[in-house]
Amino acid sequence: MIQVEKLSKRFNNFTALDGISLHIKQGESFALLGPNGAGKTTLVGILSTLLKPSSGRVLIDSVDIAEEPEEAKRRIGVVSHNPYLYDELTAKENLEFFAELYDSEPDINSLLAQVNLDHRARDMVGTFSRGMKQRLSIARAILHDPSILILDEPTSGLDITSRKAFYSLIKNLKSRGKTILLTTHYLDEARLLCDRGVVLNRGKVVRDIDLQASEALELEDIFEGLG
Amino acid sequence: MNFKHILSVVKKDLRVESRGKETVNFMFLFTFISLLMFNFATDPFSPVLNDVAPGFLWFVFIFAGMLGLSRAFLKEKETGTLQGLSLAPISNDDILYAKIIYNLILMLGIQIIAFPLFIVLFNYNIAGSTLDAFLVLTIGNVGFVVVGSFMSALVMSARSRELVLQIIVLPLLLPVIILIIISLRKVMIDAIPLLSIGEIKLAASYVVIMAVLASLLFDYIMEE
Amino acid sequence: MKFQRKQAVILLAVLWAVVLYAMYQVLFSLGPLSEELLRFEGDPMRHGYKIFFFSMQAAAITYIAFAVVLVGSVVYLRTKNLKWDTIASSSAKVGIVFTTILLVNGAIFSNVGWGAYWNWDPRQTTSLFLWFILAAYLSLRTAVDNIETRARLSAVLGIFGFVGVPLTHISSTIWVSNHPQLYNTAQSSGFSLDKSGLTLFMILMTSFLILYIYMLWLTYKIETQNQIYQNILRGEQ
Repeated sequence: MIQVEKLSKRFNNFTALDGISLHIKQGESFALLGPNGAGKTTLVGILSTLLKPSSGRVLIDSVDIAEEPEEAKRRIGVVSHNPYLYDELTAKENLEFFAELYDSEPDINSLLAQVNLDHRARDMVGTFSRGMKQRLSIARAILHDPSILILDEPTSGLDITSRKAFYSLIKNLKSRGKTILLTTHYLDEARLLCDRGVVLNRGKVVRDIDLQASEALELEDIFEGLG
Repeated sequence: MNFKHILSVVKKDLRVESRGKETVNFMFLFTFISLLMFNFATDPFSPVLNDVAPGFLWFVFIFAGMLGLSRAFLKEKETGTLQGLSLAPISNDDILYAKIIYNLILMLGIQIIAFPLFIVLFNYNIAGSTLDAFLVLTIGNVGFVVVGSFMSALVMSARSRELVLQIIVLPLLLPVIILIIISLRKVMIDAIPLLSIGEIKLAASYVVIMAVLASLLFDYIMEE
Repeated sequence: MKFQRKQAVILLAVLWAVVLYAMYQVLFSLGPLSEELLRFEGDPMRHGYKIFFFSMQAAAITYIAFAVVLVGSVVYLRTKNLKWDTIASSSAKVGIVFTTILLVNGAIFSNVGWGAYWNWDPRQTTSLFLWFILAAYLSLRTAVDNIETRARLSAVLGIFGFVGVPLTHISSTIWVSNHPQLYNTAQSSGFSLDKSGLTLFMILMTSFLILYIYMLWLTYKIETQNQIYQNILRGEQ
């Protein structure tokens, strides 16, 4: 469950987020859409505790991220366009290292099998393709069994095959009851993975979207309508 | 402070370094070359050599250390993995402590190789205890690593960071540099035992104060 | 208060007139150092002590400037109000001018008194440290583009540097006792001023202080204008 209440973030005299409120239920998959500079990255930054909000608050499974950031971090897994992996370490060593930081003892081999990388467990991540790194990044994000998965433009720069492999992994996690928050530029991606979403523009929620509704929805039309 | 987390990060950094070895190799080569240059610049039979050599030794470490320092946080910043660390439930202070320990291990490695090399090259006859001289250098290196690691995190988001780092670290270390040179001379020339040198205690307290200050202010460096 | 060119000219003219008058008085009317304080026959300190009238004020202003940097830095980190960062950085800019004056004066004083421009006297070492810290602080600022990042990082450095000041002083006191002695430390003990000397001292001190405050205010204004200008340039996206 993610509860966002009147969240604002100002940089100097630029307002990136302007009083945003959201409620994402447990097990729901939710899309954040919007043009560049709409505030998606800032919102995700705050939710993943990398940024501090100027005002408002965020509850993750009823844990206030400002009061107990470490507790909140244990409940979140983040997959971003940067895989956050060490090129000089093997796939297995990377996962072992992050497992130590989360004080969890996952079955690394089965994690690697889940993302179809068990055959490359002992290879340096530096030799991996981008698609493979991104899959390993999913394994990194779920090794502490978080209830919430934040996907911040995870497929940017991936080719179509890797993207499909990535989608099926996410669908699998979704079916296991994880709450998913996705930011993306691609409407088809949001439709494929999410039930519901909002469009952000200039730091505000401008539209709620039911992504499973049958109405023909073109993201470009929405963005153009924003002016 | 979570020792397990600190240890994990140190282990990870050492492992990453052991794969590429770029920093260690550069640091060692630099130490070797600069010791040779200093050696070449001085007359081996001059009585002055005895006086200036302890200073040389200490400066060589500082400049070699500069090479290693700038990498500790910088590399993680450049590859974005520092953000990955921030996503994990590890406190900022623990990241700092881990980097300090990692840098210290590098410095000690260089010290173990360069110290005997110095004695051979300069044909130096240490008047006091060799162990004491080694310990004085170690305390100096601890101070250097504490201030240096903190400041290398501070300059992460600056342009031409390697240059700015040196401009910031050297003045802040001025007291340590001065006190260590005095102590080194006392050990290496006047054969005074380590524990009766007041300067080394002062240097150690300076290092402790800087370390406390660093852990108090580190959160401000990491926040965005 | 709006910046008025006329006011500035008048203020500076009056200030300079006072300073020049006081300088003239110090150099030509003030008596030499009393005989019992002289170390030997023909001691250059007989009149050389007068440099003290200028280096002392520069030192006081340097410390004030540093304290303002510290306060600005601490308050900035607490409130995140960029005004305080501008105050700190303006004070550093003005402070480095006075620290340079202090260093040059100190070197001249040292040469007259002890025969060497640089002798690692504790006060010299400390002022050198101050100069380096301010230089480092200002260099860091030029190397960071984002306004808030710059403010945050330089505030941390400002605090770090300030704590270094007393420590540098202590360690250089010890350093001097080990360093080849250029002078007799007993001679650095103070001397008393007569009434006219004290008046001149206070006049100079006040003028320096006014000059510092005025320069600080001016720099602060310029910095603030500059930030507004930068924001307009960025098109307030």
